[in-house]
Amino acid sequence: MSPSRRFVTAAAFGLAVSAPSTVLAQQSVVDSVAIGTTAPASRTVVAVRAADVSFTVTARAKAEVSAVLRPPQRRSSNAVLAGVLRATGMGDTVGIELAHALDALYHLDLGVPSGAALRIAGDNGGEVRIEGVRGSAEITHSNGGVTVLDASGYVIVATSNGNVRVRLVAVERGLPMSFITSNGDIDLTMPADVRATLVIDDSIALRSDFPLVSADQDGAREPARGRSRLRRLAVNGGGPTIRLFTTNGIVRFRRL
Amino acid sequence: MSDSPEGRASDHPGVELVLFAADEATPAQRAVIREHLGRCAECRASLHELRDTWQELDAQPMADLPERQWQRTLRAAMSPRITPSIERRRWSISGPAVAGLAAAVVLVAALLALAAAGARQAREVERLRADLRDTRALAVVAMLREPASAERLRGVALGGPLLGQDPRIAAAFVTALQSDPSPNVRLAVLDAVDGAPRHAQLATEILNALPTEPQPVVRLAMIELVAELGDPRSREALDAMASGDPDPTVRARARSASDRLSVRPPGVTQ
Repeated sequence: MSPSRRFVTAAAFGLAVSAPSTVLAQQSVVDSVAIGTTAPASRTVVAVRAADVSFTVTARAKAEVSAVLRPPQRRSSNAVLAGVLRATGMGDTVGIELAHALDALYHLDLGVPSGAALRIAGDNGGEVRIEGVRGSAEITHSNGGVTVLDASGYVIVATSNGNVRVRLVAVERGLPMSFITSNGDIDLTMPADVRATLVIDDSIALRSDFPLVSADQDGAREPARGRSRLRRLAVNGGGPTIRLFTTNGIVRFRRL
Repeated sequence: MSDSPEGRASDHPGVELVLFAADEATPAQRAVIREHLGRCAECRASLHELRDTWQELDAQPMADLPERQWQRTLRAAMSPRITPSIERRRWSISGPAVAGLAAAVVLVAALLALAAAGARQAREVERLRADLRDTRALAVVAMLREPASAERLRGVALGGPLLGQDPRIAAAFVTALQSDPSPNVRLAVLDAVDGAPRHAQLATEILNALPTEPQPVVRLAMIELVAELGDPRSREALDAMASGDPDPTVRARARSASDRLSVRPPGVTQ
């Protein structure tokens, strides 16, 4: 295994009928992903995009991307569930999805190269949890919360009926982010020196550790009509937009 | 880089200056450009001209298109045939926004050259400005086809101010609303529509997209927007959602929006 292509074991991916447990990455982990869902009929796709990757779905893969599905209670025995994951590759993108629905809690250990772009599409329930991603993470989910911890790069999240919790330890400059949910709170933690412009409806309660300065321009065509007025709030002088939207919850914007 | 006319063209920020003028530069780019502008009169003049051009483009309203022309534009936006026209401009796949705006730099440079030479002939200047708008529209269309949602969000931000002026941007936004895989991008499109001049076809397309929108939070935003746009046809769609949407919050919001439409005085619709 070359240093430039550090292979990753990863955290957990659960398909569950109960709240999933989360298994943290090992010391050697570069990136880790943990996903859980409570819907037996759900379909979950993990797409990993990185340069020159190959793909395998075995426990001892030596490729740059790996995925292993196992029941969490038997993790110590390293039991592997075969024939459930389906992998496709096109160019530098690897897609992983379930070949059929599962009826109990499982974890997916997913390994990706550092800097890979993760796109995760969960559906209909359960917690999606990602830790330590370095690169980007885009999560689209429904009927469940999304947690992204200790990420570096940029993160985009959309879900419904669940909270969104994101902690970024470093931000890729120049790129917009967006966090939306219905019936849930948004809890966003950013580095103290982040420069951004929050875009948020004025009907949403916002609690911020950062001083916020209105960035609305005189004469700007902000939506004076419609659901509510969008506020633009500069953080540390302003920067790429961070869109925050929840229909029934509050937004907390914390300083790391 | 210097104020000296002998300074090499490659010393001056090109693409970055256009991004700076369009408020699309990264903080790092902004810092470099600000430092350069402090000692380069030529680039300061270019920036001034760029911003003037941007403002003029933003200030020109687009009349609603005839239905046939709108449909033609929409079909073109959805067609892969547009791709070759983008490729002809030699935009890089990895950075269409930057590469597309690079073309704008060339056009602006030509514009400035005309002015500097005292040969500002109105027709030529107008043609170049149209080319600049054309380039920006194609850049937006290309950005909305990027695989990364962050790039598509940037495309929405760049195209939003021109949404009411360029049918290609409007068509690309409609396509994004109908088929973009990211709810975040679809919500950003709705924000842009809400902040743009009223556009009859866009209102219709939002209404058409409403029943098939999978994400409740985006459906909620759509409901508020179509209600506010005031199209009388919205009531039927809102009533259907009020009784049949699987999400209780969406059902309640649809009913409230439909009620608001009912009490709207005649003549308010646009």
